[in-house]
Amino acid sequence: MATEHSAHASKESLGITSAPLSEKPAPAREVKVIRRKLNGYVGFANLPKQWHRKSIRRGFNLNVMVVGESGLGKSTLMNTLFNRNLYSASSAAIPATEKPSAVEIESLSADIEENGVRLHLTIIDTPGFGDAINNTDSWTSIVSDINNRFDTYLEAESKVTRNTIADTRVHALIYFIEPTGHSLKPLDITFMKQVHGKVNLVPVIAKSDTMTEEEIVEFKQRINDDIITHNINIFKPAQFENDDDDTILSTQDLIAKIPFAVVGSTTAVTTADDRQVRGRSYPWGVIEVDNEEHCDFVRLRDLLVRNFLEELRERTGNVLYENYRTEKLKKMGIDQDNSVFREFDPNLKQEEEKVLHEAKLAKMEAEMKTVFQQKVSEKEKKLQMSESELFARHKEMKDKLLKQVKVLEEKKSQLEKSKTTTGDGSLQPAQKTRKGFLR
Amino acid sequence: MTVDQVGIANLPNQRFKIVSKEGATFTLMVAGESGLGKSTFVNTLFQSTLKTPVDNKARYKRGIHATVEIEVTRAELEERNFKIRLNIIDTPGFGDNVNNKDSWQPIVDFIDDQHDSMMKQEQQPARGDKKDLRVHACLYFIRPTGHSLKPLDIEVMKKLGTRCNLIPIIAKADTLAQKEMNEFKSRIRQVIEAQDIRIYTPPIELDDQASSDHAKSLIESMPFSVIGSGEDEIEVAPGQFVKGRQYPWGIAEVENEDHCDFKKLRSLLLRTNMLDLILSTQELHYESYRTLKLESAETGSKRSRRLHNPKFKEEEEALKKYFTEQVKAEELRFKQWEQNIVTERHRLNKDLEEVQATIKDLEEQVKRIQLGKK
Amino acid sequence: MIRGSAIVRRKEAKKGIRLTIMIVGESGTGKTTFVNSLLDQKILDHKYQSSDGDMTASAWERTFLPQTAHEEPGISITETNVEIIDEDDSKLLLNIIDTPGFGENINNEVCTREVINYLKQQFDLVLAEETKVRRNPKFVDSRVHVCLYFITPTGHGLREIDVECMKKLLKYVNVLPVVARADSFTEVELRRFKRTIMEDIEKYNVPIFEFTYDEEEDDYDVIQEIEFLNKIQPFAVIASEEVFTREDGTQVRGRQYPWGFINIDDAKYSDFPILKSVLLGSHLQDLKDLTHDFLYENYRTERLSNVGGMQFEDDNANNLLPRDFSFMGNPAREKPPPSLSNLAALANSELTTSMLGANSTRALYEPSTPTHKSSMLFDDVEETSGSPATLKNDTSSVQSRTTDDSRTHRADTSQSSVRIQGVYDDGASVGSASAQPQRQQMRMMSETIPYVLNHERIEQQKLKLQQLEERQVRELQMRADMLERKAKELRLRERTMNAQSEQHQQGEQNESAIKKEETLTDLHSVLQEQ
Repeated sequence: MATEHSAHASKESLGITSAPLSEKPAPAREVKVIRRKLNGYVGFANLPKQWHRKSIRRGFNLNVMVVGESGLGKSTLMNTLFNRNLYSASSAAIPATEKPSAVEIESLSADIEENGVRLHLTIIDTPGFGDAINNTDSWTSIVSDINNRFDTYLEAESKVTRNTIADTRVHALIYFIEPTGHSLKPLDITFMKQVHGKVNLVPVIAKSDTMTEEEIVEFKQRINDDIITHNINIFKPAQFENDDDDTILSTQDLIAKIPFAVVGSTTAVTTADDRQVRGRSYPWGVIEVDNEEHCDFVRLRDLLVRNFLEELRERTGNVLYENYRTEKLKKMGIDQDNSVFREFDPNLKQEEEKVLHEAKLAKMEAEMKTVFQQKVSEKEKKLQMSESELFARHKEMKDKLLKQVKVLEEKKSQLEKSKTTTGDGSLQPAQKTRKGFLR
Repeated sequence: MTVDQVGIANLPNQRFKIVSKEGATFTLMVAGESGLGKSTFVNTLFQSTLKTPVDNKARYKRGIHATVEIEVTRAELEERNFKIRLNIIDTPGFGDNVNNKDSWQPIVDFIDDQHDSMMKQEQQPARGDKKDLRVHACLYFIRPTGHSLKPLDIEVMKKLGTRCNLIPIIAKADTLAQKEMNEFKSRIRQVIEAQDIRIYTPPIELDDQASSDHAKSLIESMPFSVIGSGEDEIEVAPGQFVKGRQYPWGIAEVENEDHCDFKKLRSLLLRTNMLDLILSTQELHYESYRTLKLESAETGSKRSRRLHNPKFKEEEEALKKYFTEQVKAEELRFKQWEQNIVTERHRLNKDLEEVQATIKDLEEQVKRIQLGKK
Repeated sequence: MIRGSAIVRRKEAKKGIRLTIMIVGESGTGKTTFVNSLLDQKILDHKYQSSDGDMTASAWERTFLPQTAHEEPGISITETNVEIIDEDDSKLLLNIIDTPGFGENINNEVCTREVINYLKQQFDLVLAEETKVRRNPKFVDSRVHVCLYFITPTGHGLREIDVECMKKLLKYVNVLPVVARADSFTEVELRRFKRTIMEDIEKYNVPIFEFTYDEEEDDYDVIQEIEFLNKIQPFAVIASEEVFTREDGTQVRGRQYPWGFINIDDAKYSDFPILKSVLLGSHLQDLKDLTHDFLYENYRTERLSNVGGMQFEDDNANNLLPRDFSFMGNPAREKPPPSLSNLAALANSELTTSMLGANSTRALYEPSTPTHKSSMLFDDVEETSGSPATLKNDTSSVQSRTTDDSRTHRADTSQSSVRIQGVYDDGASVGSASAQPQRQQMRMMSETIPYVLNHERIEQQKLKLQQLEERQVRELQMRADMLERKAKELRLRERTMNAQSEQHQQGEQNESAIKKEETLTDLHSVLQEQ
């Protein structure tokens, strides 16, 4: 599916890192980099064009979460944004009062194609938000839904086979502010603080046609003040350094209009000068949705789709998701090992191999030594034993024999004594005996 | 701009912008025997002197027996405001020895190591600044023998093809005449097919006639024949310069499609298929390495690191030899010892025999005396 | 025995001059093409038959098989005989030794070894013949006179295989390094490459063939020429098998590129014509003399002093040396001559050939006629380059013999294979024949004897040996174990017997002898463990 890889691909495939080019950590060993600006045309500058083509083939996807109290025209605005009836009639017109107090999560999908470019759109609606009397916990199910989506992605990313990862993470959260004309409500602030680290937060002033231009300007000012005092991070598009002046101006203009005051309408009305426009007809005139003078709808659309959809997605993947993941893994007790983020260095590798080799050699030597020594000492012992055994046995036998000799000699001398009288051949045997000893 | 346009048509432009801003990382490996113009080719391709030739002194220092090394040249090139971080991986020493068995191992290991490193980096909780040296394209330089691929080529290419985008190249194409080149190419293609060597082929997008025609023409020209040129361009006509090689018999032009396939190769590497090379490395080669690695980790088998430095082997041999000699010396000592024991035993036996003889003697005497007595 | 050189020369002329050239170098460096260009005819077949080319005798074994391309080819050594007849009826019998497969294996250690073996074998053949009482009148001196070593045109310098191989070859043959495919270098690059090679040759101490002159005897021109030759070494050649017709109708051998045409006989482009005249002309005799007087003599001395003792049988030995070594200072001369019996043993051990001969006075060697400075085939370099196609094939009879005989039985080469008679004529040489007046005749008696040496077979043998060794080791181990067991048994028995004998000891019977088995060593098991 077209939508499935793009998130994944954009994050890692290119080796594009979220860190800017200039930010190079100083490694222990200086890495030599040749820097050159080419005059001729080599052709790698064609890569963005290749991406352009590729992105058309792959298609795009966007997951938008809309949060706001009921009756602020969420579904109407969405329908207006994408210029089609995303919300079926049944779900759109249910009166708020019949809703249970619990916040529900509902998602709708649509595939939109325009000039051959496909967008898979998912709108995550949160009916029931802020409708209860006590809304202290009404954000929990929303926050846990955002977390779940991150978890799903994390799980998919860690799988053995992950050819297709469906990106269901929330790329933008449109928060509808009630056009009270005062300032942000405690619920608004609490909610925004709960989610601003997890999603690209886009606050809008709903149904801005109920306020005058001056009121809107004032209201916007107050909201922005609140946002600043409460340290709430809302999504602001980054400026490209290579942008032309027009783009820079329009981006600046767009940022200045935040939070966008919007009016939603899908119905066509006829203006005083007889044009057919999307808008709301009042007795005192027509509010044109697509007219920048009348409301900030066009700005919102630019931010969400026309100009910054990819940036919303990039930021979701590279910043918000990464932060969530880092925290989650650290909580799970996985330690950071920064040694793996190291430039390849052949010398270092050689040294490592050398250490490995030396360890192996040492182990080999030790093993052989022990075997050798053991065998040698075994053998030595054996030989020593047989040596001593030899002597011992010899001694034993000799003693025995000598004893015999003694006995015999005694016997002989006895006999001889008794025989002296006969005096027969006493010399001869004595000689023989001596002979034997001398041999 | 009509009212009912949501702005989706502009999305590809956003991607274009983001990529333009971020630039890209591209890692190109040049493999093949030395003297095939790898460095020259790189310099010609990027139109700047990235790699300088090895001077003779360094060669002598290294000795005639080469060990295969991995050399990384890093560059940051900018063209039309677009920046790439370019890594050139060279493998000096490959194929230069009498015995080239296993000489591909350091190259193959390098590619695997980069995948491995990326896996490890990806697994870290914080992984902002990843160092990526995964090889997006590997150019394998074939010597223009006019014969076919050599067994060494085949062996290496088989191993490279399953790990990265392998692009075979006929180096120094200016030594093969047209007919010879055609035959050479056809033989190489036959070998690649018969030996199941996986080479990179640009995808053919059937719904886009122009691009599929281009891809087909690229595929048909494989393996690309290339000519490298020196630093200076040659003046062919007053004020008109070309990249090429000046011979006494003419100028072989690098960018002339009749002379070689340089332009096609450049298109494949940079102009039309660079992204595909990068993406397929990520989605095909890296993923399959990762899957394999994780699967083998599950079954518990672990890749043991083989060390290829010939010095290491020598040292091991020396150690073994040392022990063998020790054993021999000890054995000699024991043999002598045993010999001593044997002679000693002989001596002692003799001693005993003598005593025995005495006994016998005495007994006889006693007997005689007794007899005599009687 | 010193013979009159005049007589010999006449004989020589009739028999023809014999020259054996060996070509060594990595495959694909243009060896085959060079030979074919050198002789102006298709003599050697290419590794793979070109798809649309003529199918020649051995084409069937040269068909390209992609399925088996990964198998290491090992190395084969082939001989091809060519006879060239000059206009004055002088004959040149060329023997081309090719070494297909060289450098093409993954492990090329076998290549140099086999080439050296071959060279030694030729020396041994001559040595054996020399010592015979009755000489074989048909004996052919197959010693290699010159080896052209083709350096792979890397542009970087010599590689390990180049240095190792050349260094080893030097002992047995005159080595001339050649840079083939010189068309991959521009003029600057070629100069640099040549310089690097010569530096390498010096650095790694590879004393290649040097052209020498005698300062007193040789005249100025000759000295200049020789110095020039030494200066341009190594020869950088461009070869081609294609002949093109120029606009003026003349035939040129050359290479056609999209960017230009190379006339290979043009000394401006390559050293090919110079090398051609050196090989087949000016230095032909020098090469032969050096081979015999220096290389062979050294080999002979070494060989004989290695065999057996040094008994002298002076008369015999002197008779065996039919030559007067006055050509150059020969260190071998000083060594004592060998004994006949030793020689016979040597011959028998080395060769299985039976070369019976009746004529004991047959000249084994060509006499040392004074060196021809002017070529026999080509007058000089300039002329050669002007008329490249001077050789014409008149009748070519090809004998192709192929066997997979093992290397030691070269002489046994069976005749059982295909025999084809035909005329080699590729379009080019026919064209040249019609264009040029018939000056020389060339007869080809190609005997291609592949001296096949399957690399795999060697590996298998190694493996078998290894297995055998392992088995032996295992057997030894078993036997040792058995012996030890027996020793134990014996000891046990002895002890019981001792006990018995002690009990029954009467003083007379005594098992006093200490058993021998006790001291049996089992140290080899220690060794085994390591």
